Amino acid sequence: MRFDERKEDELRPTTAKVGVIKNAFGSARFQMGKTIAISGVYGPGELHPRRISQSDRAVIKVYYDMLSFSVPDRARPGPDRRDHEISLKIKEAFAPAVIREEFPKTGIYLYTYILQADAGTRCVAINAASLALAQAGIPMRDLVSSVAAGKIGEKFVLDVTKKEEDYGHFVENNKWYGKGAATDVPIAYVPATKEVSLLQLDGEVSEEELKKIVKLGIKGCKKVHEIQVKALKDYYNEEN
Amino acid sequence: MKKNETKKKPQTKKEVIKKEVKIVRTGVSRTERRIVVPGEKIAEGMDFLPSHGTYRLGENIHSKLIGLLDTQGRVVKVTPLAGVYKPMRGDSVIGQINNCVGTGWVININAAHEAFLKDKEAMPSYSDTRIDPAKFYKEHDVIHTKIINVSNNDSSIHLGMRGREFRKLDPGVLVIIPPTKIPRLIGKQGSMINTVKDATNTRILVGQNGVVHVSGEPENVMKAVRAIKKIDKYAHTRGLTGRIEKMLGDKK
Repeated sequence: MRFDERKEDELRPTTAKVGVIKNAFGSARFQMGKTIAISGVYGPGELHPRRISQSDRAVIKVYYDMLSFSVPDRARPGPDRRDHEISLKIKEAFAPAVIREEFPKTGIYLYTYILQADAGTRCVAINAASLALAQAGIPMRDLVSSVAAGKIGEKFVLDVTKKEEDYGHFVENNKWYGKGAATDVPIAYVPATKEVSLLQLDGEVSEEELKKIVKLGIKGCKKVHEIQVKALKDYYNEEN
Repeated sequence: MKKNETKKKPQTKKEVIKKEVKIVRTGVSRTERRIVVPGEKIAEGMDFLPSHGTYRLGENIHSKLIGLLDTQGRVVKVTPLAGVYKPMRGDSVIGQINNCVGTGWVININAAHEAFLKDKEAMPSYSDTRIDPAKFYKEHDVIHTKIINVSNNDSSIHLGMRGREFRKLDPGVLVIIPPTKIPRLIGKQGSMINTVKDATNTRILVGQNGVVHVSGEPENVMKAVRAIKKIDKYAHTRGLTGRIEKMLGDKK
């Protein structure tokens, strides 16, 4: 059993809401456990600076930032090195999904903010951004779904929390297990084309173990995908 | 007796089949207009043909947009519920002047790229080449104009003002809705838009780019704007004209 009494292959309580920023072309809020991300999309439109535009496709400009109050010890406002890196990873995660060829020479502006962080922020940000892009009417091969899988002690788990990452323990038969080492593998998945568009690894695993973790992660991504589809359809059906 | 039975049976069967076919046909045109999301599988096999808003993956057809599913025979199409305007030559659009440059105006027409209106297209006489463009249209002016040319990759859009209806618009309110909802806003032979116009006593100009210009008495204008926003929100539902009539009638 895990700290929050979840099963190994169980997601944290997950909610999604589309259309939270009225000014944006598309927006969404995505929550997994205690991690919350909000995302807004503008475009496709004029790209600034023009020199980064591409003549055959749209450029996605991603801005990922963790807000000061999202973590216990206040984060410095504005994106830091980590935020810039994650922005780039999010951009790459959407590259195989968004059909950018339909809007050459334009820019799509994608903003994601982390309101509250409890591990898996990049995954939740991708999930929110994916919904926002869809609501903005941007053509995509599929929604991108993302979740982190990992290994705690000898066990493979889905959707790792901050506590599990830090302590690397789990409970079984009223005893503590795990060697105090946790491995965390964020995965983003495009279900229609069966592509993994984000795969990072923090920790130590063997090749065989990594395969198992990725398999578990993809299973989790499919669960996330169902929640995303429901949130999008609910937005239009609620209005009825 | 036996002969009668055998004669009757095929007749009833034929009738049943006919009815079923009817149900299926009406079913395609009405109940099939469900909402689909990007990536959703909407048709299987090579019997169907992917049209707007869809793509083929292996043997199946998936949606690439959030929109309403339309099946016309073998052709599968998704009408988007959101997105920017895709410029088409000949469309009459409403735009706002973004910038005055030496040879004309840069205009925002709600597309992915800004449009350009050349000075010669807008000025009355060819000989007055020294007229300052800023004297014709100023920044933030709203004009009704026509797309005369679009480059291959949509990146340069040229506008023209030739035609009686194309002009600078009076002060009013601009409402921006997704361009795919324009047909719903206008209705069959203008039934919907005329309902709003008559009930609120306003002048409404609809651009094919999803920009709607409403002018008249301020109070009436706000009422019309509310109705237009409601039409946008509920465009994919049925019996909308009736509800809009009711809404405008109640507040009269």
